[in-house]
Amino acid sequence: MSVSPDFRTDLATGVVDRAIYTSEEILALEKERIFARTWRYACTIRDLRNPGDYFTLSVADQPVLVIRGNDGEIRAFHNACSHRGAVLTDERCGNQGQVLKCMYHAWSFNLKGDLTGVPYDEGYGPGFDRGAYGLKPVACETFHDLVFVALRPTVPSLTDFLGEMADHLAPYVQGIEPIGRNSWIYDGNWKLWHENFRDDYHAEFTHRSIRDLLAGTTARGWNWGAAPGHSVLQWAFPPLDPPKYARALQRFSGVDFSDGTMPVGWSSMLAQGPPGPPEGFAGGEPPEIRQEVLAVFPNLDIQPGPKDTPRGMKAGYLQTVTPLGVNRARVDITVYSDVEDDDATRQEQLENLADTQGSWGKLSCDDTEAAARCQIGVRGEGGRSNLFTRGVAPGRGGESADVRDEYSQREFFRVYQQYLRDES
Amino acid sequence: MSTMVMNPAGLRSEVEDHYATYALTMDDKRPNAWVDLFLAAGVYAVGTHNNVSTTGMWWYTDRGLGALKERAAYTNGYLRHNPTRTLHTITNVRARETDDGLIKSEAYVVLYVTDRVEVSRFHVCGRYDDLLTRTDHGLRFAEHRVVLDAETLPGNMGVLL
Repeated sequence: MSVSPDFRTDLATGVVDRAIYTSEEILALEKERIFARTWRYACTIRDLRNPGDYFTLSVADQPVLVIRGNDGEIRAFHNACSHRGAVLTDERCGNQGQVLKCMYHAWSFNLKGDLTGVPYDEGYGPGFDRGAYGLKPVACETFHDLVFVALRPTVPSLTDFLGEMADHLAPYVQGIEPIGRNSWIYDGNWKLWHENFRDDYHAEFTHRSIRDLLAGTTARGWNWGAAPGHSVLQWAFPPLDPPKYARALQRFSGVDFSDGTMPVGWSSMLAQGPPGPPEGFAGGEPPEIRQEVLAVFPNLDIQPGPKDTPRGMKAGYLQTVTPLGVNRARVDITVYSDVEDDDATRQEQLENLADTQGSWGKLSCDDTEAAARCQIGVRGEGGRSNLFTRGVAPGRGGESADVRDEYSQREFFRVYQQYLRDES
Repeated sequence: MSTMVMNPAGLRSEVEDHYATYALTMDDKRPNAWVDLFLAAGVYAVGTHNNVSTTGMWWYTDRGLGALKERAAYTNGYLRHNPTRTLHTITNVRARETDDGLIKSEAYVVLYVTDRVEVSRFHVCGRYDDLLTRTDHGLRFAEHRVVLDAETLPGNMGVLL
């Protein structure tokens, strides 16, 4: 496709043409010019601990395989046999041993992608060059513990691609261990999900069952569009109040908490920590709990563990959203903990994060519902554009911006528009 | 836990009645009654067979009365704003008494949903792997573990299983 989309609005202003959520042509351009040209998070290095460990993913509808070799190198290949194109494995992850063997005609490849086995190869004649039939490599780089791949990267260096986000992201993604994974499919455009992780305007309304516990959560914080195309939200909230949460839940649901039972699900992460201030705290009132959400263009979200909690928890999650159509998308989420955590701590952290995130998550279900409702509405004639114009100061926000501002989304759409209009 | 191979029709019938009661608490939107079918220290957990093949299964786990009430409250509140009718069909029940006085029970579950804009449809299916105990008020879950067949799940899983 060689034609740039003719948007009715300049997306970088935050007035966003709703056609980007409903147009098949724009989805095709997104795959060709964004997903095929940007660095895509694949997995963590500890998903590939041993030689032969692999992880598969789809990038712009193309099957990709990431695998660790005997030399310790992590490489990525198109997950397609060079003979007839059959995918070499359709498992999400596992260990392939020393050989990638196609189930169709048993062509075999070593962990560097070299073609090493061809049954009855004399039939191809004396000039058959195995070296020309290795697996086609895909660009692959690591950023601390994260593995990224790119089919045709416009920005050759992953660090350059991360730009201003690199320094902010780095402390969170060192020494992390994946401890749980979950995937689900919702009826909505992929961008509706990713936008939502750049948005804290919705939280106190969409998540009101939980946010009743967190009154004032969005009163302080900030919103930053980190070039090129990334963003950081940060907010602070006071220590939690389980009795207040119990009363709110009873009003919300009709479930009886009048016997004094306290809810202990998500709130346990914070409410049940050891009493007193966090380790190393010098005195005075304990600090507020600070939480951040980082969004990496085009489709990766990272929510690290809250800072300054009584436990100083490092566990968090990494999440990607992949388009399956203009109105259908898949979310893959991985929960991680600190590599130093013991098994009991990991299980506790997994249960806490699973309580709010993933297909059953008390927050994710709300967000899925919001995405599905938006998708239904934007395909009608109720309006031509979506608004992302909160925050009127010039620039890309930052510490002076309100957390509910939309610098974060405008930075996404600024870069999104650049990619879609790049006909090179 | 060692078990006695003992599967009299009376025991199975008792467990089937319990599951029928349990299904009605969910389908009739009676969250307090749902909570009452667990022991105060009961465990409710949901996961899939192989969702996390390298690092262990992702269980949504609620341990004890506070977590169970929170789960029921959240789900019931969610359904108030997203009115969805559910039909839990629980079949293939097997049960046996264990040496320590509990009942090990297994069953299949299929969930159909009907929401505001769609016709009734299949939503998700899986198995129950449970531990029950007898109380003065009837059978109660000591553990209710749901193992779903799907590895990629429907978006709207704000339901009890």
